[in-house]
Order: sequence, then C-alpha cells, then structure tokens
Amino acid sequence: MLDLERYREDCAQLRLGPEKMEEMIAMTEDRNKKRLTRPARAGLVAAVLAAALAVTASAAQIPAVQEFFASFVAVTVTGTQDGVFAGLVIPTVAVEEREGRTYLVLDGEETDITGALETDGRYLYEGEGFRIEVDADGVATITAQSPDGETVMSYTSEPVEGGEPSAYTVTDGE
Amino acid sequence: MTDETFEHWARAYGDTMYRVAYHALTSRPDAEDVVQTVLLKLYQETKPFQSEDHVKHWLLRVTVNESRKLLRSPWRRSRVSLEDWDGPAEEREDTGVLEQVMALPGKYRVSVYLYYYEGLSVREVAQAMGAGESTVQTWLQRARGKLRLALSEGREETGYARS
Repeated sequence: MLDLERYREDCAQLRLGPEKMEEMIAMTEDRNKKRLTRPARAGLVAAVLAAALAVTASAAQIPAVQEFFASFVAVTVTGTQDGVFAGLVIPTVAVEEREGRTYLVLDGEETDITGALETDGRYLYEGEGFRIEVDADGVATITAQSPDGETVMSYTSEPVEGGEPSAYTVTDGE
Repeated sequence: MTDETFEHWARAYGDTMYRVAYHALTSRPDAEDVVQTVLLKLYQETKPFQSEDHVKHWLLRVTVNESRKLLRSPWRRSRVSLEDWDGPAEEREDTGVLEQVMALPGKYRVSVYLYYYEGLSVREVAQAMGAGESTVQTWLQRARGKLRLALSEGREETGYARS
C-alpha cells in the first residue's frame, strides 16, 4: 500500500526553486508589459510612416497624409482590467487605392476588395484574435479581441478632408 | 490583477503547479514549460477570483489542461513516443514511493497526487481533471491496487514477503 508519509516527503522535494520561480514571474510580467506598450508604439510608428510617406507623396498630398495619420490613431479600449491589455495582437494593415481598385494589404498580402465594397458596401476579414472591417469609403476599423471574444481595442480611420492619401496604414510596429 | 497579487499567487502555488505537471508529464523541463504557460494565463485572467481556494482550484484545472495539451502536441509525441496520458512513465532504477507512483499511468499519477498530497476530495479531483467522480474513484482504487502489487513484488524480490 502507499506509504503516505514517504510519498509526501518525496513530493515536498519536487520544487521549482526560488530562483526559477522568480525568473518565471519576471518573464511573465515582462512579456505582458511589452504588450501593454503596443498602443503607444502603434501611434509612434504610424507617425513615422506618415513622415516616410510624405517624402514620396506629391506636394499636394502631403498635408492630407499627415492629417490622416494624426487622426487615425484614435484608440478605444473596452476590455481591460487594471489597465492591462490581454493577449493583444494587431496586424499590419493598409487600405490602398490604385487605378480605381481598392486593396486590403494585411501583413504584406494584398486582397482586391473592390467587388465586396461595391456589392456589400463593406469588406470583413476575420483573423485570429482580430477582425478588420473596411467600409465603402475605404475607412478601416481594426478590432482586437480576447480569446473569449470580447473586444479589447479598436482602431478606426477617419476620412480625410482636402485630399486623398495614397495609403492608410496602421501597424503594431513589428 | 496587480503585479503584487500575481506574484503572491505565483509564489504560493508555483510548486503545486510544478508537481501536478511533473506527475502528468514525468519530465522536469516539460513541467517547467507548463508552469510558465499557466502563469501567463493567470496574469492575463480578467475574471476576479472569489477566494484563495478558487485561485488554487483554477490553477490546478488549468495546469492539468495544459499538461494534457503538451502531451498531445505532435512535438512531444515524436520526442517521447512511449509516454502518453494513459501510458506508464519511464522505468526507473530507484524504487522509492514517488517512483512507484510515477510508474503508474498518467491519470492515476495525477489523481493520486491531488488526492493524497494536496488533500483534495474526490469531487475536487474530478473537477480539476475534468472527469466524473466515479471515474476518479475507480482510478484511485486501481492505483492503490497497482501500488499494493508493486510493493508485494518488491518485498518478494528483497526476500521479506509476508507469509
């Protein structure tokens, strides 16, 4: 039969050790804090991209592009606890208009969404942990979701007055 | 959840999670991986816990589930093909009590640990393992039978079997 006393003594010696435990705690907190900084980084990177685009855009388009990025990074946070975002993953997204066609560029992969916009008035993409909706005006809403389907954060682009930018980009900086 | 709360629970239950994962996986590095995964889930958990008991039972359940996931992963299966949730642990030269328990099939090992070391009731073991109470009772009964047999065989080998 099981010698309970000896079994408990043996089990008590099965330990992670304080150093390993502290290492794991630190790794967990670091990993989550990096995620927490993403919205701020997104704003920063979007601004940098705006500046880069401005260099290549025509003189007439520069103000529009800058205005677009200034207004694009409007962040709505709905699913946080104690200010910590849970499992947030935001893809790199662009909506581009070229030669009368509209393209969704998701992490570098292009999809022609002109037909969907004309037929349905919108284009919807469901990714793992996020969804992207582009409306007929080319306005994109990117929504990040927690594993249980709750909206954690959304980015929505706004129409630009006074010109049309050549590209609308939101990025998580990776 | 504040960092302080997370750290308190991690330190309070880290070894418990590790022992559960070790009983399930019979591998220290794999058990450490599972603990790291469970800590991440704990940190990201948004629903509040009602009590210390609630946290403990949540951690036990998640640890059992994450251990199962690791056992089922193709990577682990190809690496340790003979180890499975229902299969016996690797043979050991040492014949201590823990080693006898670790030679049992995985579900017996985990239920024995939760029942005899953690002092959970059959119902609580069943909840942690996602099984029925009668199933857990059967596992514990069979585990005791196997341990009794292993013990008597060990005594016969060392020449002091009861007459």
